[in-house]
Amino acid sequence: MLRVVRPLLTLWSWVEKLVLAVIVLLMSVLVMVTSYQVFSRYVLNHPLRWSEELSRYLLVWIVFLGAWAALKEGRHLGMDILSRHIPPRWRTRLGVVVDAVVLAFLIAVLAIAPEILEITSRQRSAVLRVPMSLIYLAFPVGAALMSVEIVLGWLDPRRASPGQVHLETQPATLPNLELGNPDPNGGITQAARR
Amino acid sequence: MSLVLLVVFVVLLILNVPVAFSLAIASLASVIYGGVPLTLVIQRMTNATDSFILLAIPFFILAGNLMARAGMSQALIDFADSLVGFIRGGLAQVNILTSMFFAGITGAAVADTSAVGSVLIPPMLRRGYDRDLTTAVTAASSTIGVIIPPSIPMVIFGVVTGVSVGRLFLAGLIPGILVGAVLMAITYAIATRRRYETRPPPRLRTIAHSLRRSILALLMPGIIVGGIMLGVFTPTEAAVIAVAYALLIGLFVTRTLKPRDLPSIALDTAKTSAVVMMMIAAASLYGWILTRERIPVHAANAIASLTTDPALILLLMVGVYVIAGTFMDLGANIIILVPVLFPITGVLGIDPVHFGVITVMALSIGLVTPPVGACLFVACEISKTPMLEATRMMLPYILGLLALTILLIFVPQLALWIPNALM
Repeated sequence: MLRVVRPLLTLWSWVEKLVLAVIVLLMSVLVMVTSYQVFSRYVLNHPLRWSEELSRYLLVWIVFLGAWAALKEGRHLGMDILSRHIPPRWRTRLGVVVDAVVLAFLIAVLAIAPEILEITSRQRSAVLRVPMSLIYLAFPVGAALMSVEIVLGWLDPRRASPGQVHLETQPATLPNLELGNPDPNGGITQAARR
Repeated sequence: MSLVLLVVFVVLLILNVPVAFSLAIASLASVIYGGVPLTLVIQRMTNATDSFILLAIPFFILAGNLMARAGMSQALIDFADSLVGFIRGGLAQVNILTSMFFAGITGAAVADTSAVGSVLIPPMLRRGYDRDLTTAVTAASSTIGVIIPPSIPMVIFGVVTGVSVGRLFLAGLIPGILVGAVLMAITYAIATRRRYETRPPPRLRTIAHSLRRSILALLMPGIIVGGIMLGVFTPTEAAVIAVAYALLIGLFVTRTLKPRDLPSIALDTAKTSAVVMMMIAAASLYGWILTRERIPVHAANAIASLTTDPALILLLMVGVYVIAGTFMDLGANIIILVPVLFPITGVLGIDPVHFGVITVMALSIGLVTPPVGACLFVACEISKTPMLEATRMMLPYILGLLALTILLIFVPQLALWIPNALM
C-alpha cells in the first residue's frame, strides 16, 4: 500500500507547492491591480473599467484555491458540539463520515462542472472579453484539489481533513502575529497593586 | 424541498461538517429533490464570490495582518497609557483603549485579541493584575473590533442584505465608543473593589510625545473612517488604501516588515478570507432556495401573528443571537440567521442599518462566551488561564455588552445619527 502511495504523495507535494505559489501570485496581482485602480481614479482622475472586473475574477480564484489551502489545515469553521462530547474512538469515526460527506459533495460538483463550463464557454465577460468558463472553472479546480486532499488524508493520517476540524484551531491569525520585539515593560512604570 | 433544506443542514452541522459545506450540501440535496437544474450550485456559489464589495474582506484582513507586523502596537499602547493609564486599574484601562484604536485598524475581533493581548497581557500579569481580570478585559474589549469600523461582520451583513456597507460602518462608530466607555466603567468598579493602585495624571508633554510616536498608526483609522464619512471612498477602496498604507509603514518607516515575510502573509490572508467567503458563497446558494420557497415570508408572518411591536421583536431576535452566538462563530451566524430575520424587520419598518448594528453587537457577545468564544479562547491561551476561571470574571462585561445592545434597540439614533447626517 505504502509503496504505491509514496510516489503519489511526492507528486502531490509538487502540486501543492505550485498551487500555493499561484495563490500568492494572485493575491499580489490583486493588491497591485486594485491599488492602481484607486490611484488611477483619485490621482489621475481616470477611472478604469478593466481593473474592477479583473480584481473580481482574481478574488473568485483566490477563494476556491484558498478554500483548499484552508481545508488542508482544517480551518473551515464547524460546530463541534457533538464531537467534543464523544469518546476519541468515535470522534475519529465521525471524522471519516464528515470527510465522506464533503467528498461526495465535491465529486458532485465535479460531475456538474462540464455542463456549466460548456454553457459559459460561449459567454464573454463585459470588459475583458474573456470566456466566462475561465471564472466558473475556479470552483471545479478547487473541488478537485480538495477531493484529492481528503483521500490523501485517509491514506496518510498525519494530514488534516474537514472531519478533524476543531474550533480550537480557528483563531488562525494568532501564530502570525509576532509583534516585533515588544519592550517588556512597555514604557509602563507603575505597579498595579498596592 | 424546504424541509430537505433545513433537516439536512441541521444534521450536517451537528455532525461537525464545516458550515460552508453544510449549507452547500443541504442546498444540493434540496436542488436534487426539487428538480432544479444542478448547475445552479456552481453558478450561484461562483457568482456570490464575484463581488466588488466582498473584496473588502481580504483587504481588511491583509491590512490588519500587515499592521500587526508593522510593529506599531507598542506605540499605540504607550499613547493609550499616557491618556488613561492614571485611572484606577490603569493597565486594564489601557488595554481597552488600545483595543479601540486597533478596532479602527482591523475588522476582526480575534485579530484584536491577539494583537493587544500578546503585548499587554504579560506586563499586566507581571504587575500584579489578577489573571481572571486580565483575561476578561482583553477578551471583552476586543469585541469592539467588529463594532468600530472597519468591520468584517458588517461587510458580511451588507452583502447578505444589500444594505450599504459604508452606512453600516458609520453606524458602528458611536456604539463602539460607548462599548469602550462602558467596559472602562466596569473595569473601574472592579479595580476599586480590588484596590488597584492609581498614579498622578500625566503631563501634557508626555501625551504629546507618545502621540507623536503613534501618529502613523492612529492616522490609519482616520483615513478609513474619514474617507468613508466624507463619501470619498467605498469600503473596498478604503480597504485597499489601508493595505497600501500598512505596507508603506511596515516596509519603510518602522521597517519591521521584511519583503520575505510578504508571501506567507498573503497566503494566510487568502486562507482566512477563503473560509469566510466559502460560507458566504454557500449561504448565497442556500438563501436563493430559501427565498424561492418563501420561507422568510412564512417566518415573518408567523412572528407578525404573535406581535408587531418592533422593539419586542428586536429583543426576541437579540435573545436568538445571544443563544446562537454561544454555539457558533459570528460570521457564520450572520450568514445563517440574517437571511431569515432580515425580511421580518423590513415588514415592521425597522431601519436596516439599525438592525445591522444590533445584529453585530448581539452576536459579538458570542465571541466572549464559552465554549466557542474565539476571543475568550485566545485571551485564555495567552494568559494561561483556565476558561472557567476567566468566565466568572467575564460576567459583568457580558452583562454590560448586553445592556448596551438593549439600549441600542430603544435609542436607534445612537447608530443612525452619523450615517443619516452624512450620507
